[in-house]
Amino acid sequence: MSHNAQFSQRFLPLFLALPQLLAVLLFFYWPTVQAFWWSFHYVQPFGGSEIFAGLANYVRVLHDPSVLSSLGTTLVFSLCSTLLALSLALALAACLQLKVRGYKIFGNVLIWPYAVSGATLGIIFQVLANPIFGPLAWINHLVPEAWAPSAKGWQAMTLLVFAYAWCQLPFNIVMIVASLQSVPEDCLAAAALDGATPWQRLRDIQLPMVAPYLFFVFVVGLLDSLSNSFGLVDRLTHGGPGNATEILAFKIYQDGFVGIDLAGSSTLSVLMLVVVVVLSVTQYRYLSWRNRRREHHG
Amino acid sequence: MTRSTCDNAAPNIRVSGLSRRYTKHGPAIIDALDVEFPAGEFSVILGPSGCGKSTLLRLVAGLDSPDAGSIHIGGVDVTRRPPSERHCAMVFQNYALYPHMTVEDNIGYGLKLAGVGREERSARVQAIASTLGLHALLGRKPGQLSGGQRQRVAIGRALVRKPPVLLFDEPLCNLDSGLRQEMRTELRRIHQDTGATVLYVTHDQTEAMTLADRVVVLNKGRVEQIDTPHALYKRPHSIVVARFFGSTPMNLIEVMCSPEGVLTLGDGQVLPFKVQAAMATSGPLFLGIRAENLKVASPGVSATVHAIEELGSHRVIHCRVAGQPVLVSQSDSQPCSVGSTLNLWFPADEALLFDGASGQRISSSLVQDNVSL
Repeated sequence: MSHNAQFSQRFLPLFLALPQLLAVLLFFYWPTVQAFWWSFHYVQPFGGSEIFAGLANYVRVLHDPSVLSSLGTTLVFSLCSTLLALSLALALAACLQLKVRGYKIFGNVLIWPYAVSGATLGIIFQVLANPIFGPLAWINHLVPEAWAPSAKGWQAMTLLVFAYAWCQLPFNIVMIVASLQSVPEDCLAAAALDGATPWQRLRDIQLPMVAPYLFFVFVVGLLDSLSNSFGLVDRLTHGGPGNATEILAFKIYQDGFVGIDLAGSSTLSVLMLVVVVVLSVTQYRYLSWRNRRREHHG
Repeated sequence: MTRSTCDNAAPNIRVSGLSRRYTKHGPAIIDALDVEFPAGEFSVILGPSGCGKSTLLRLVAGLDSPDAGSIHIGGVDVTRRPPSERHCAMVFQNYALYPHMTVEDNIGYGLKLAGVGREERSARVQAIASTLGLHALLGRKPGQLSGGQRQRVAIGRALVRKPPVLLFDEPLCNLDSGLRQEMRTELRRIHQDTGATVLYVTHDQTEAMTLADRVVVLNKGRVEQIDTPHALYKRPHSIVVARFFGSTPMNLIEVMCSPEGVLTLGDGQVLPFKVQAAMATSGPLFLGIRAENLKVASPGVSATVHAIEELGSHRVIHCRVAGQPVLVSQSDSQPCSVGSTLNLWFPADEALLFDGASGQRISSSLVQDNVSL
């Protein structure tokens, strides 16, 4: 790329970027460094002296049954919601491909929910899932106490998975529609002449060709579900019932700001950061390996 | 291979009143088109870019649906049928191979969809591959092939199901000229072997000349002329065809016609021919004459030489006659230099007359008129 802007003074670009840099340093790097620091120290709840602890925090956290159960919950939540969001988005994107009447309007309508925040979504789903006056209340009329997401852990988790999948859906649809459109028209025409039905064209031609994009959407969704699900959990289930929906992001907040275990929650943050980095690097490696292989062949 | 390679006998294809426009009030890409492509013939659809020839092919294949009119293949109305029910195979300009499949899977995909078993499929793919010289490449992916090899795979994919109708959309235009000549011979052979009805879209004169049983010249969504390549070359019906057909376009010289049928050039030179008085019109006419029919000889029309193209087997002299460009093709190397003046002569029966207003050819022969020179 040779389209870089040219500045005559050396410090002008730095000066112009300063507000953004300050915000990033203050709200992202400083807390990250602080978390690293705290994860290796014993920290007092309301300030005061810190004592170097070595790996003691890590040993403690990884032997804590509530942490291990939270990791399991996170795994279930992230995998289920991401896979659900991916498959629903794929199905909807495939329907948009059929170009039924009004498909452009449908396409827009499907993207709008992206602008809804997690907390708002939590309230909406709280109303929807209400066992007494929500749309699902008829279940309890048929079988009393059958639908009670605030009492039954698996129902709370199901609710959370659906709610989070719903909020990931628009982004996934945008990405998948774009990737499906990248498949050359003539390839699909050739397949149609070969006798393929729209479903066979999707399965045999489009999906294999967009597989790397789907993998990208999957990993991005997974990463997002680790960190961005806090607002939804906080509003919708508050980690409960019991700790059935206490995913890692929520537990970090609970331990740190409610339980004032700064060292423990910092250690968890660092562990989550490691998971996120490993996932990101894996995906980056995979995509660049694929590109290199394609260049080599093409 | 024998002619029995087609599962069904090759059908004729008839389009009637076919129209297609891309925007509701925009120009028609295909405008009330009526053409019949006879069974088992190699028909080339020729025309300048944007004339609707590719659209016509896509309509026949069922990849696009017409706004009006009908398409019959073998007497069956297929206008609203999906592509899979039309028994057509198509070769695309950019090959349109499936990039994630091997050559073998690319060729065999249609058979697989048709429910042909693994063993028979493999045998049929192998057979096609060996006739096209693709045997060693069956395990490769399209990305590992050259342009010519990809084109062969695309042709193999089209042929493997033994389709009664073969559609080609400018299949050779991405190949270099040597390969193109080789593929032309190959396509001719394939047509003889399969006996399929072939519709072949191109804007290339040479392909139309060498491949076609019949050429359909399209212009602005309408048929300009349907004829054998030879007839198109010798007797174009209109100025459009005359300008378009032939690797060196036909010379068209504006002339004025007196009521007596005497032809005069813009600069006042009188031509040594007369039009039958009955056919004489007052408006401007265009005299059409092929470059190779113009001879440097005296007496004749005087022309100034502007440029000389040396082409080895012959040379093309760019001249001006009464200010209008004229090309002369010369196989003997008579001395000639830029800026010099030549006398051009041509036999009366090789010249055609076109009406300037309608652009149509006037069916009238010229008569040698020795008196006026």
